[in-house]
Amino acid sequence: MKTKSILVMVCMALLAGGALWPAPAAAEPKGDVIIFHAGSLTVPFAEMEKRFEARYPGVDLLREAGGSTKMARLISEVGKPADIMASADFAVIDKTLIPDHASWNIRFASNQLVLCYTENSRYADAVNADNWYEILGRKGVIWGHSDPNLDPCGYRSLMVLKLAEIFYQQPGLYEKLIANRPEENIRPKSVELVSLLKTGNMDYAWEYLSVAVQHDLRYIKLDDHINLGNYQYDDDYRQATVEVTGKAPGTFITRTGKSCNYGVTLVDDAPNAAAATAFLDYLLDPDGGLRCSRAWGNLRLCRPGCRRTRCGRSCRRRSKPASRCAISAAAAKRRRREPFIYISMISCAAVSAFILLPLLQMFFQSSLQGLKATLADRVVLKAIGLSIYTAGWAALISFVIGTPFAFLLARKNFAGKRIIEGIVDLPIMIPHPIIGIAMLGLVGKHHWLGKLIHAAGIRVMGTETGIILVLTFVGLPFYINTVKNGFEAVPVRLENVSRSLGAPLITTFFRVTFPLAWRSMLVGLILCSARAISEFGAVIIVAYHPMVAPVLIYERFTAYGLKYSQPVAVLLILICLVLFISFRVLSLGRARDR
Amino acid sequence: MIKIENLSIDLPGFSLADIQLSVGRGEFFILLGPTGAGKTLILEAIAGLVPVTRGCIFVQDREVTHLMPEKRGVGIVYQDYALFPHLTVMENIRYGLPYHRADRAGCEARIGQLVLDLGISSLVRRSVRHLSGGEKQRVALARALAVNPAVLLLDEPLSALDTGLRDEIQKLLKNLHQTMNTTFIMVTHDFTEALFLGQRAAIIHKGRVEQTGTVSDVFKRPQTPFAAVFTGFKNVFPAEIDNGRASVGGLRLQLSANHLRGRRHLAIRAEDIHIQPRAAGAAGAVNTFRASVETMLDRGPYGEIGVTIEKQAFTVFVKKAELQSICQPDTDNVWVTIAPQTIHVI
Repeated sequence: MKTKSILVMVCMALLAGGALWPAPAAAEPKGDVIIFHAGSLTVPFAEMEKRFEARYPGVDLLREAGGSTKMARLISEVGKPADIMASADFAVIDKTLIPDHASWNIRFASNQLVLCYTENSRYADAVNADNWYEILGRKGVIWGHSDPNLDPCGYRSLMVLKLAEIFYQQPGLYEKLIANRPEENIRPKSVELVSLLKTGNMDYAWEYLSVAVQHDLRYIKLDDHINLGNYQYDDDYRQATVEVTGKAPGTFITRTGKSCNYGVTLVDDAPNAAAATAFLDYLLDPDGGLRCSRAWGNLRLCRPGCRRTRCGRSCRRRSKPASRCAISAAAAKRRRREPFIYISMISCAAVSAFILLPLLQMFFQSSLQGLKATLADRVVLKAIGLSIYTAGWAALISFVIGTPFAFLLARKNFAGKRIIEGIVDLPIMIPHPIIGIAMLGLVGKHHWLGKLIHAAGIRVMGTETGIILVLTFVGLPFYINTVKNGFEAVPVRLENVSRSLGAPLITTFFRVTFPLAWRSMLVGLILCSARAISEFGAVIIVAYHPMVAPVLIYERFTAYGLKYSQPVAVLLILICLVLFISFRVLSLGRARDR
Repeated sequence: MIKIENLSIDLPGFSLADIQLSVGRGEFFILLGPTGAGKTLILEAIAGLVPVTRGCIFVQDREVTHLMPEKRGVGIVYQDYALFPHLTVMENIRYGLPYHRADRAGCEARIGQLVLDLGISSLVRRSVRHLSGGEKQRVALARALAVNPAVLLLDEPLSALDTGLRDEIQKLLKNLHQTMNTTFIMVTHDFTEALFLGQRAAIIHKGRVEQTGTVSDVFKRPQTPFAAVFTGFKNVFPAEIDNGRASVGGLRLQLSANHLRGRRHLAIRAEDIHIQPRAAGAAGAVNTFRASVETMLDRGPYGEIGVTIEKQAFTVFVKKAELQSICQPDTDNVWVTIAPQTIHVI
């Protein structure tokens, strides 16, 4: 421990030295810096990012927020490249990254646990610092916390409950409260609970004080003996222990209570160590990042875009009433319809409502100002552009490799054809995070293919290549199945005649099959790219950065809540709608020409 | 010209077995058989469009069993025409030209002549989608013949046409065959087409060749009970042959010649059986029997009468005018005469 402290001091001295003697202009840092950080650091780090990038225009900070333990494991177990790791629990870096992946660890901020709620929560008017544990134990009260295995806030929440049992002298309190908290109330990241609170899906949630303030939540501040916020009570905090998953599945480690201290480290294999060191200099600079951190620690937080104005019902558009002519014509048709047509129409209305209602709800909830601001947001446009770009590539690759394959499936019967067709459909059936995880294993440095890819200088993780790879994976079945049906619709006799007239198979394909099946290819491309644009589960594992639109929406949702995620989602839907309707119209137009 | 030796093709649910065929140069050969007999499969095997399990196929003395379809010099015309719907009439006809560059000039000249002969010169710029059935068939023929194939395979080319058009295309096919030095092999299940167009024919049944020979020979002298039924013999039944006579149930028929003793089949055409009222007094003539009328059907141009002689049912065709005058149903008042020379022993 002594050695660690000395190391920390040496590092701080080195970093401070770096700050005192800034590098000459020629050595100014540049390039991407990948930062993995706790979700609760999202807001102050976003503020720091702006300021730092303004100071060093050549540097682009790529932040990835998540549960601290999960983020640390992405470095230690998955091998995802990262320059800096900032954890909500100082100990996570010690236990997960040091000594194999990092050499030192610096405490740079502190926090405390609070019980958050909203004015609509049950017993919102009655809850206080003395009765909160009684209310959490009442039936019908929905409360939750983040996953103790992924997020320090999660196990700290449990520690608070254990400490409360001792502090309030209520034997069995912990068990009683946990019994009133179903497992579905546990979310991967503590900030995700904010959205549940705000949408009324949850009454109470355990959060860091900083998060509560950032999101304008009501909160109960607990006694220092149990809130894990005061280092002077560390001896008391140590009485609470929580078992969480270890480094490997099936293994467990015990977390012991102590005050909340944020830690930061430079990853040993940092791809851009120079620029990362510059950011750490800035983070620990009393006039730089630490100013933000201190303010945040004192709950005077750097908080971008905390405008309270919301576009309410006035923004909602009202649909025009149908004209009388249309109604009377419809009534005339209705008289001639069979009863089954009514069933079909009801089914049509139900399906349409099922699809449209959530989307319309999102449209109406997004303010025009929010949409305007989103349109001007470079990050959002970049993410949407990247989504379209990568989905386009996925469609192109599917076209090139999927077309001959679809032709084979449509035209030939061979042993094992059904198995091959089943394999093609696999990406549709399996959960997409599995695809991402499988891809991680395949392109990792421990796999021979990954070694080959690395040797060839190709980076898959955290790159557009990786995104295109997984998007092709998920989109390919849609293309192949659609085009196969299209080929099957072209009479094989046309190809037979073409060949009898002297045309080889490939010429026959381009002169007969392709001109007659191109429409299904276009539909296949639309389906493939639509699937690719909407992909999230596999992409987020392979590449959090560069950020595609669905990941950005999720990031905005988890880090900032609904307010900041909805306009991005609406914009993405609008752009996709325009694109796909254009494609559809194009294909129909050509179909009429044929 | 075309020789098929021991051809076998195994497909799921169907197989061709030991097909032996020989077609001479410039011959119009007919493959006859009911639907599902395997006729089209033989055509497609000759064209190289289905994999052959066993056996050999020779075209112009060259073995083509495993040759690509485009290398065989075999054209094919399907029942549904199989015109390329995205091309015009002329584009369809000229489709094969890029693959026959050596004979380009010949192809061009042939196309000009074919367009005139087939009467489609006014259609060449039109889309094939808007043609009638007869026009489509002409275009399909022109397209196949434009590249001067050694063999033209016709897969029931007339079955989708109405009667008037069918006669017209039949004549057209006959003229084309006579003017072009091409071997035609046509699949049909209609014996009248075969009689009009074909020189030789083979009857295919359940993936096997039942009989091969000149069309008239196959028509007149079927060698199997199936061939007899298929070629229009309405009265086919097993019989015991002995000493120049045939026993069918309790009926004994005099034959025109001595046949081998034993269990055989008799085949008698319905139109070869003579029927007259009992009052006409034909009793005593050879193979003349008293018969009872069971059914009478008006078949349009002729009448069909079902009679029973000694519990053996026969079908008889008569002129329509004679239908009512000869007999009444459920009466025992007719004489039936079966001339020995009209009885075919199989």
